[in-house]
Amino acid sequence: MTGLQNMLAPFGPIAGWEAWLWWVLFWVSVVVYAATTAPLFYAVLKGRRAAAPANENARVKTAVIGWATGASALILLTLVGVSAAVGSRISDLHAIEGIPISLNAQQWWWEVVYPNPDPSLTITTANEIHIPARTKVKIDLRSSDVIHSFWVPNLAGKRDLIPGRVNLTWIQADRPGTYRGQCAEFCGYQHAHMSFLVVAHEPEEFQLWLAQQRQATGEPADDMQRKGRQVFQSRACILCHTISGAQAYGTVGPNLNHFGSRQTIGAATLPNTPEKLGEWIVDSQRFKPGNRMPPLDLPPEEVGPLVAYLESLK
Amino acid sequence: MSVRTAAAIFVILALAACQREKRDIHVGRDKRAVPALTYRESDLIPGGRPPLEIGRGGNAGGVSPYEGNAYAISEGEKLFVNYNCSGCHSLGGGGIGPALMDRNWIYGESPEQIFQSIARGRPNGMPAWGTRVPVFQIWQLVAYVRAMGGLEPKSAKGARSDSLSTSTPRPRRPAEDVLQ
Repeated sequence: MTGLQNMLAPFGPIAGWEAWLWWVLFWVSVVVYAATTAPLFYAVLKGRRAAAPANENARVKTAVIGWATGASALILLTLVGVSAAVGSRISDLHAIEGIPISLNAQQWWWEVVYPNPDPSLTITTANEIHIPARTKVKIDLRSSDVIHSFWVPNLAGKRDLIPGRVNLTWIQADRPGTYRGQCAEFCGYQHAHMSFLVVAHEPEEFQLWLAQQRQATGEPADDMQRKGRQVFQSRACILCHTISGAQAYGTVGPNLNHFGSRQTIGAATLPNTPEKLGEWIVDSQRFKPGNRMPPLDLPPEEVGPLVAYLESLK
Repeated sequence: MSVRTAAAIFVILALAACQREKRDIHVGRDKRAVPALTYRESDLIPGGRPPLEIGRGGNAGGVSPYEGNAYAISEGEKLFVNYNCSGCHSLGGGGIGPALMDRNWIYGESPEQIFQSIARGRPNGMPAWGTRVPVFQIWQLVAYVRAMGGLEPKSAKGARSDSLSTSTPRPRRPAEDVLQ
């Protein structure tokens, strides 16, 4: 099977186990359903007949009930065992190396931090989680406000992010690719627009990505981008957003480092194209009403350069 | 009059009494711009760099659109922390800046006066936020600051704050109990 956000199209071990369990439960249910519905149909089709005396075939009836109950209990106990075994397998956090990626969910976006013992090498980004393929990756789950839930159907099942508590989970992608995930716990107005992408790279490519993310932005390449940076620094943007190297240190909204290399805007609400970015900046409330970014009344001669600057942050 | 007529009149009157609070999410163009300030009262500008030009926001000095509006007060509460007003004013008790929970209003307590304080800045340390913050957000902050000072109706000011509660909820606190 293939499919975007399809839990039956697993691309990682956790999703693989969960899909396997799903099919086991499904086919067992099909068989049991058929076994219980067939006699019903038989009775309906056979039609009415005179009622037999109450105690006729009493022993046969008791035996049938006894065997059926026994079989149901056995099936259920087996399924419980299988389910528990899969559950313990997929929540096993032993022997996973490396510092966990830190996810901090807020209304309605995902803050992604790659911590490092050396703080200057820590990377902060938003709404996109990059991982090396074929490697188990631990993820710390935190929330700043209400309960959210981390769910990447192709890779791993749901794990809640609960304010005041740190949850731990792990994911693994078996091959490189982009996998879409979503918030799976109702968290307010824009819960439906709180998605994210998990991008799996080949391990060497992942190291290159980390190195690139650690670099602060340099000087803008041309006048238009320079004007864009000036707009960014002179308007309300710096109150909430951070761009390392552009003297912007706001921590309220998503970190915009290397924003030009991201695939989506607004927690996977819009694709990251210059046109959509312009529309988003001027009135994000149109696409995601109630989100925390205010609509900004910027004249078109400022929006163009600003978009050019942001898209240049690769 | 029959019981049915009386019941019908009662239902109609009851429905007419419904008054749902208006949440200003799709803010109008005039309110989403930065206020049109012809002068500032402070040289402190958040972010450091001066603004590109005078803002185009209307309603700079008009009537507060959010008086008694619970949504606006709640948004103002979030903005108060986001824009680091709490850095100088704490959560109303003051510190570097004056307390906002007491009855001593240096520059006035009317919504209009608080708007000017926030937008233009004030001497001795209040930055001119009107160079960055859009008009509708300043009005939300005005509503929240007034609510902190006990000037907004109790029904509009939620009892639960966003942070850990360590004392009596704000609307339940008698006015005399705060700093003078």
